[in-house]
Amino acid sequence: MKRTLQLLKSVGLSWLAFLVVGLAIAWLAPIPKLTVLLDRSYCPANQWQQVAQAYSQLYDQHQHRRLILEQVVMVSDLGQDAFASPPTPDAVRQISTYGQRDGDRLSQLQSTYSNSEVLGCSSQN
Amino acid sequence: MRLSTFTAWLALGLSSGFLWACSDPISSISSFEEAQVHLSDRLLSNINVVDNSISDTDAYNAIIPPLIEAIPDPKTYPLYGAQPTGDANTVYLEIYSSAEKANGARKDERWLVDVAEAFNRRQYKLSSGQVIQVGIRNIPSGLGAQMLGAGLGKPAGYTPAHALWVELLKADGLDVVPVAPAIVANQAVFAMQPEVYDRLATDGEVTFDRVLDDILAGNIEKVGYCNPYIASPGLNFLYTLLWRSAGHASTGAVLTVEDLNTAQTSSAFTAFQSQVTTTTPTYLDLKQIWLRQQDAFDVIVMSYQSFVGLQAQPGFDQLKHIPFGIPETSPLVAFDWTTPAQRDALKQFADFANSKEMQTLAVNHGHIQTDYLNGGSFPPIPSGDVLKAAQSFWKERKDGGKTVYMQIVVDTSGSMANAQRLTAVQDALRLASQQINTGNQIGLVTFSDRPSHQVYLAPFNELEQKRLFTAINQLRASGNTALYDGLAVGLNELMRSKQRDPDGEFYLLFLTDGQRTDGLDFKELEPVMRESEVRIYPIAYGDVNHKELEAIAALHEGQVFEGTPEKVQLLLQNLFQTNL
Repeated sequence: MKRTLQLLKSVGLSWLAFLVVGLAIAWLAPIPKLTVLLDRSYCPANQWQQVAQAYSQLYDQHQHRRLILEQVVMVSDLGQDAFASPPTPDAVRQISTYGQRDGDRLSQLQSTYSNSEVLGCSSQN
Repeated sequence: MRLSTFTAWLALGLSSGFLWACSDPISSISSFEEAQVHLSDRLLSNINVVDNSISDTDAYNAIIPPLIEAIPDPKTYPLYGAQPTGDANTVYLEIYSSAEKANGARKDERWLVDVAEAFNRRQYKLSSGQVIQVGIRNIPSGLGAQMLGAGLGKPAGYTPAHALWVELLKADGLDVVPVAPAIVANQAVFAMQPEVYDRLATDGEVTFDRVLDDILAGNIEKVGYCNPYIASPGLNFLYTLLWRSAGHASTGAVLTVEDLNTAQTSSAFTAFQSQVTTTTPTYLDLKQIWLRQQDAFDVIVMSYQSFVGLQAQPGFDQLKHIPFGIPETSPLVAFDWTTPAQRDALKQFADFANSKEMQTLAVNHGHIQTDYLNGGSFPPIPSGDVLKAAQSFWKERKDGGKTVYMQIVVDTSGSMANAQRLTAVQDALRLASQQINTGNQIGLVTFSDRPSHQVYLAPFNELEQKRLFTAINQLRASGNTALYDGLAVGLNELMRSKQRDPDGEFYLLFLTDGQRTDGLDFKELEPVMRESEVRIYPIAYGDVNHKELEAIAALHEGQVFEGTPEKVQLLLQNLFQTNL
């Protein structure tokens, strides 16, 4: 009986230690969060595929929990539109691009979202 | 017992066979494929189609004479208010006015006619003692500009819906003298379904930029637009779209011809065009389609004054609007041929139109001074040369890489020989053929006792234009009206083309001056037309069955156009310009 209690105690303590270490790791090395700003200003089709490829890599990391895509926001010179959840790379590949790059809007959004990355033709150059 | 069982089974078998034989295969048609099979296997197999197509040699040898753009005589448009008298004690002013304020036949579109009548009654005089009398000729803005540019009329004044038309006149070399910058309030708007507006409103204020962005992003799918060569809101929107997508909103700079050649501007235009489901000659045509079919559009381009009237219709009271572009406040201008006395008289008339009394009257006609107009933040007015380039830009690129297929089905029954009907159609087709973009496909089918293939669908080029000309020249009127047989033949070729090119746009222009007297009837062809995915534009050219033509047009958001030998040239030119 006493041995059983000791065993349970050690197992419990081990799990507790495991949990504490896990929390410490999570606290010391958290999964990075990122907001993607998709600049949909005019981009030739072949260059947009490179943009979609760059997004695909981020999306893969998001799927494997090495990265959290907090928000994906499409930005044009007419406005911006946030996706309810990160779109698939295929969906991004099919996005049409048009109009001018709106540098001011992108800068403003970059300051709104502390950790953000702009993906677009102009940012590829 | 055995005999009675046998008899019962026999009766059942015979009844089933009879029912099967009498069953209606038409009612079971519910897809494009079924419609096509039914058309080619069952309907066309009973129709004797004549092949009158023009050989390559005949087409090569054809000579196309120089063609002059068909611009109608201004005198064929109604003149309201005072009529010219030639009295030396009177200064007579004829003013060309845009239709939304000069349609004397409609209570809600006749503000300027009422103003002129009130002005005339009061017998205002110049300092010379001459009495001023005003006549208002109702001519759509774009058409008025074309008439003036071509030197077809010399009115004392011109009041189009907005200042862009005035710039186009200047580009045509006319010396334009401003009389009043505005005489009545109006603006161009996006008229929107409430659901579209509410969806956008969940993320903040709904603005022109946000609506446009939503269209370009492909979220708004059914957009109705109107020909920017004719319709004021159509030109206003085209200019605003190009100006906005050239990136000039932040600087306020004016659009240039160079801007039109950039990929940024072009991409925005292409994105917009890909969402346009219907382009009509005028926004009133869009309004008529919408009134008939409430889910035809998510958004259309129109004038606010007309929107007010639309909102008063049952089922449209929740409609929303978003203003855009330059004000449509009806500038009034004179010309270098306007005499000094007429200029003074025009000034008096403009002051009268801007008086409190007349502006109160304007509100009752839907001309409302809105916050947008009071805000004063508008795109700058470009030069007429830029606007002409913008119109050409639209004409060349509106198809967005898609091929447009149009089958022209023309009635050549005996009655078409009356009153120069067929001759007028032939002239109209020759002129309208100048509006066809290279690469689009056009076919010609005629019908009288039997349908006849004149020109098969083929990519339009110089040879095809000659082929079309030769075919038009050979049309003769005789025989009965196998109306639906002709329609069936035209539809069949379009449907076969659609199988090969599902992304193309398919139209059938159907001109008839009478009622069916031979061949298939409406009921037999209706399911095929319904599933054909071809938009049919009937042209009523005489004593026709309006109910049937309306039913045909309504199948795919089309409309019936009224044609007369006098107006058919302009009608076909507008339809070709808009669709081809």
